[in-house]
Amino acid sequence: MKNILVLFVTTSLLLSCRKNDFDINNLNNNKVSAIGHAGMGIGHTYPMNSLESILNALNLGADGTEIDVQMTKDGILVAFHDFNLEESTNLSGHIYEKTWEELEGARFSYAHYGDYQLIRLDDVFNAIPDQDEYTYFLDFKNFNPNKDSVYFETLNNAIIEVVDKYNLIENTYVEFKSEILIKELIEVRPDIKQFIYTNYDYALSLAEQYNLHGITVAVDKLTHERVELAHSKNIMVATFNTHSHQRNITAVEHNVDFIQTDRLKHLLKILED
Amino acid sequence: MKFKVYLILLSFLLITINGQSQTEKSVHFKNIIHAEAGGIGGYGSLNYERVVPLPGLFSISGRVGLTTVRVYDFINRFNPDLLFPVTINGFFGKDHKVHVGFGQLIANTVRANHTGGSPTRETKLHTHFAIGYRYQKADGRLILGLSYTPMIEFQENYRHWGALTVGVAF
Repeated sequence: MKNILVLFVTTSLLLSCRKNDFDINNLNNNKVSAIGHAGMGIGHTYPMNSLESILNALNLGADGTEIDVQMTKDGILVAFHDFNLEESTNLSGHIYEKTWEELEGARFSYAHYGDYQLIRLDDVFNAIPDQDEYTYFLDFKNFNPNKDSVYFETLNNAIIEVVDKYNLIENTYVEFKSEILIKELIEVRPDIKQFIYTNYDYALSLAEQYNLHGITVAVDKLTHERVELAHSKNIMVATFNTHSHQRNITAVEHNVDFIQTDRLKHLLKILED
Repeated sequence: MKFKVYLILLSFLLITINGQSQTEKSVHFKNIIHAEAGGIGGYGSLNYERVVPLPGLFSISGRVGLTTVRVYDFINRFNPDLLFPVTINGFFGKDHKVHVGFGQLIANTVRANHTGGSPTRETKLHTHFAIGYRYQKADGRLILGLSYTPMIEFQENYRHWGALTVGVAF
């Protein structure tokens, strides 16, 4: 019995000390960038897209962060993920129905006793020291059903304003899900880098058609071959849904360029090893 | 709604003080240290409770506790959130007790200043209630409990919650 116990402990120790040797070969200077998923990711005690979550991720050593972005009725960009405000805040309704004045002070209801509040994208960048040291993915959630020319113009102006104000042109990727939004932004600012975030085949075809920087695809929909194919067309690959250690490892093994992770500490550790 | 609940609890306490004629003793040890999993503190708390016997099988208690949600803030500096649950409970029973209670949680927590991102401390009050069961043999020291402990965070958001309690009396 004692021998079995010793063997078990020794094996566990050896396995825990196993080094992750990754052979990284991608379009990101052969480096996988660790990007916080809305800051610290799903399931963390800081709510997703809160300033606390985003600053925590960057302070832990993330290469950057993904931020979900929605636009208010009065054209203000707000860091928020959900369709309904009541899913995670003390307000109800939708971001696009409200002005920033109506949203200011809204509190995330997720965390116990934490006074974490909704924040404008402008305030997020204002609070990040040395903004140009990090990479940002701005995942635009365009839930507004009335997308007319005024909407496109307002949205594009808001994006351009924040990108220019904080000099983010080199290190920021705008993520859209729809072709029309991609097209509209390219027409006014072709220098703003874009990723298309949809299923692999459609994303790849749109990326080729519009000469986009990359595609964003869930890790479970990727294979090493699919990433290689995108890279062969000079298209970068970002992935998400890495909410376990194994998924972090799988994503790195796929040779993606960016991982928007929910397990940031683990990803930083295996990439450091 | 909140007023009604307070009124019911107050009535309960007044009845316990004035309306009992039983002589059976329900409290042998007046001090309790207990750990609560879940409960008023959110994820758990350590508490001191002082029990005051009342006529018959009734008793009331006051408890103060301490807990935290996180120890390091978002810039990874030691800067703990401090939470102090303060509760008044009314008990009925001998070995098997039922209890109702209410109180405030004093939360001194850290958040990011939205104009600049620096860590900022603030203190807020949050109401809570408790209704549950507690087991303690009449002359025993071990205490086990199970409670429904809803809270009204920021005096605004009602949240269902529960607690498991293990403690010792002395």
